[in-house]
This record gives sequence, C-alpha cells and structure tokens, in this order.
Amino acid sequence: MDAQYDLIVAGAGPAGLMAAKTAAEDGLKVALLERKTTIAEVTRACAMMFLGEDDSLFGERMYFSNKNKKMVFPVNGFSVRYEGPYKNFYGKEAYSPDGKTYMATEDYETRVSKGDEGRLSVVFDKGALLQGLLEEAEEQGVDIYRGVEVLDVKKEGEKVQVVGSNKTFEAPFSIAADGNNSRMAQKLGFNKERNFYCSVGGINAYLTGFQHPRPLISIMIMDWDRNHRIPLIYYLLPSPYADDERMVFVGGLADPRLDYLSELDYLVNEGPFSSWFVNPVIGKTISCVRNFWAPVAEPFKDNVLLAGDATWTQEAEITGALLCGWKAAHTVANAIRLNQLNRDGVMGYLTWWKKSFPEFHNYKAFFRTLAMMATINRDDLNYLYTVMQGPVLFTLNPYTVPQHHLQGALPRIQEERPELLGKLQKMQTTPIEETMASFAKAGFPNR
Amino acid sequence: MITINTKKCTGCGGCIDLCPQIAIFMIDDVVTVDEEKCNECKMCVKVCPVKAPMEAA
Repeated sequence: MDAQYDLIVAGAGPAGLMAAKTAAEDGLKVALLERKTTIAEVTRACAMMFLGEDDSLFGERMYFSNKNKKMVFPVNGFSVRYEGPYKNFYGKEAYSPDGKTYMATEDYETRVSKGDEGRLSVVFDKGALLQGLLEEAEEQGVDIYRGVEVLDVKKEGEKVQVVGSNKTFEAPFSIAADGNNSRMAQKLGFNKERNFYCSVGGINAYLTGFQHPRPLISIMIMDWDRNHRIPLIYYLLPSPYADDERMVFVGGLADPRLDYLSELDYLVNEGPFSSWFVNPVIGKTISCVRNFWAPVAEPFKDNVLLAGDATWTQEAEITGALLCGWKAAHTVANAIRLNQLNRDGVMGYLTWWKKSFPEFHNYKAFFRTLAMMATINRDDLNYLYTVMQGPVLFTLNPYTVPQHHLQGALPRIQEERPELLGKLQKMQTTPIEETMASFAKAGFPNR
Repeated sequence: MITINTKKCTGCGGCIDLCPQIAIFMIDDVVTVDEEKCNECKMCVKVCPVKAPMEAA
C-alpha cells in the first residue's frame, strides 16, 4: 500500500519547505521528500541575497524587516521568519575584464551613511532561512522523508503517484519544488515542449582577506577563460559573516574543458583583480550546474503543480520560490476543501503564476548578457567599457537590463570600431535563440 | 566504471539531476553511482563543476 497523503511536495528548498509548511498550516496531511538528510545545510551554489527590495519582482515588493526578522511580502500578504545573519550592501559595480575601467551605481558614501534606508539589498544565510522553515514545517506535523530520490511521477486514476527511491506516495495533488533541473518537470514531459537555451555551471566560495575601497557593494565581472574562450562571469558579494570576507561566485557555460576552481585561483592570485585579495583563505566551496529552459506554458499537469525554479527559465530566486510555495499550497488546500481535485480546482494558482511570472517579466531579457557574450570577445568588451556612459541602475532586477550605456556611445563606436558596431546591431535584430544557438548545442538538456 | 571522488564532490546534485539513467543517488548525503544502472555515458563527468566523477579501472 502506497503512503497516502493530501499533498506530496518534492524538494525541501525554499519553495518546497514554504509549500509544505503552508499546506500543513491549512490543515493538510503533507509528505515532503528530499534527497539530502541535512536539509538546512546549503550544498548548491546560490547568490544568497534578497532580490526585489529595489524593484517589483514577480509582482511583489518584498523587503526584509530587520526589526521583526521577517521577509515581508506586502502585495500577496504574508511574511517569512528569518533569524540568521545578514549584511546590507549599497550598490553594484561592473568591471572590464582587464580591470582597467568600471561602472558603478551612484552615491555610495551617502547610501552607507543612511544604513537600512540607503541599501540596495541584503546578503543573508540561506541555511538559516531553510532551518526556520524546516522547524515550522516540523511543528505543523509535516512528514519529512529524508534521503528520498524522486524517480517518477504519474497520474494513477484520481491520484498522483510519486515514486520515491524507497517508498511510493499517493495524494490528490503534488507540488514539484525540485528546482531548476526538475525531474518532476522532465518526467511529466514539460522539457519536450519548451526551448532549451544552455547549461551553466559554477562554484561559490567564501574568501577572507578582501580589501576594496567600497567593500559593501556587489561586483560583477564578465570575462572569458584564458584557454578556450568560454564565457565566464564572476560575482563578488559581501558576506553576512565578516567584513573582510567575500562570497565569490565563478560561473560560466557548463563545459568539461572549464575548471572553475582554477579560474577562482587565477582571479584571486594572479589576474587583474588579485590586489583585492590579501592573504586570502578560501573557505567552504559549493557548486551547481543547471539548465536554462523557457518557462513552462502552464505550471500544471496530471495534478502536479510546479513551483519555484521548476517553472521558470533561470532562477525564480528565493523571492519567487517562497511566493510559489505559499500560493500553490493555499490553492491546493482550497481545492481539497471544495473537493475540486482537478485543474479547475487549482486555477487560482495558474492565473496568479501567469500574472506574476511570464506576464510580469520578459524572461528573455535575462539572456541579454549571455547573448552579448556570444557576440563579442574580450577585447571588444574591454573597449566597450572605455566608451560606455552613465551610472549603473540602482536595481538588482535581472530583467531590467539597461540599454542606455551603449546608446550614447554608438557614434564613437561607429567611428572607431565599425565592425563591432555591426556585430552589436546584428545582435539587436537577431532572435536571442539564434544568437545563443552555439551555447544550446554545447549544453546537456534533460529532456 | 564511474566513481565519485568524495573529496572533490560538493554535493550539489547536478549529476544526479542530469544523469539520463537515474543511476546516481545521494546516500546519507554522499553522492554514489549505482553500478548496475550506470551505462558509462559519462554525462556526470561532463556536467560536474568540480570534476568529481572519474573513470576507474
């Protein structure tokens, strides 16, 4: 006999824990399946900052209330406890690959002096967020199955059957919160119906010994690896744990020829930015590899609701994950109360998701950086940094990609580098899928 | 035969997600290849960001 529940949630990340806890609060009997046993220990690379305080993200205006230790979601009307460490940061800077020029947001010193009022966002400890949600889920009586791999999912009669590696579960509904490479989405056939863009990989590491005139900023550097010219991107973020610590993310196209650890070593010890690191000690290093798909057309099939990264193209991010988990769980609870155990029963989630995700953001805007890297080379980018103009926009919204930096410089590029202008103009008029075709071909789609 | 170098592996689970055979599992938080299910396609070798999967004799 399969284990019987009202709801089976696959994946105990932010979306899955939020869904399980919320559904249990609504009175459902919930099973939460997770392959790890140490749920609150983060082993997958993640930016670990709150996105969305500066701009409307997924239709929300999420902010972190330091005083109440809560992430507040005022538009949707709920909050999530966060009692871990955090640190404000006050701007962002983007550097040319050769380190000679950079662009920045304005008014760093003034913003720092304003404290919480002046911040761009907050870096935090994702493990502490997961721990808080896990405790609430346990208090609410969620049955947490650790060490379970989801092998398959299918509709069996009126119910969803989720086949775990050592147990099979049945419920009227399931929520797939199994992330960017979702096996639930794969098994339900979503990946046969959506466009594949590329596979990306990366590592993050905490490093001490960071010295910079403006330490409380996020730094981004686009580059290419020295041996194979594979696109790379570095993010250097403040750490919630110590002032002289940085969280460094090194990411790029997933390619067996690329060694992220040696790229990190080059950044810290040899490259043009190595002077920022004084006797650095590299702490815990974690990694990730993920596929970029187009969003699902509708986050529902065979009584499975998709939530968080499983639905979206790149990252729904912590904000989007918590939102999806919360909304999907309430919608399922309502459908069960009304005994409407089908698509009509969860229509509230489906229309909400469409409004908050694909209708709210142009997901293709996220790919503009990658499309740029497929178009130009390292020398081109170093040159562009010398002619680009204007301050960086004070936002972390990944769908707001400013075009104005290049606009004002076009006459000069026309004069100095007409062939580069030609490449940029061609990129503007070519579909992003076409520009990125070689990246898709080099990827590892889990269809 | 493919094995995972547990000293290099960070436990991100990317190889588990992308293995076409579903032949890789996390057993007590240690990423492990199921020899009977593995057909040595080497997808895990290609996708691993820290080069933990390796071919063993």
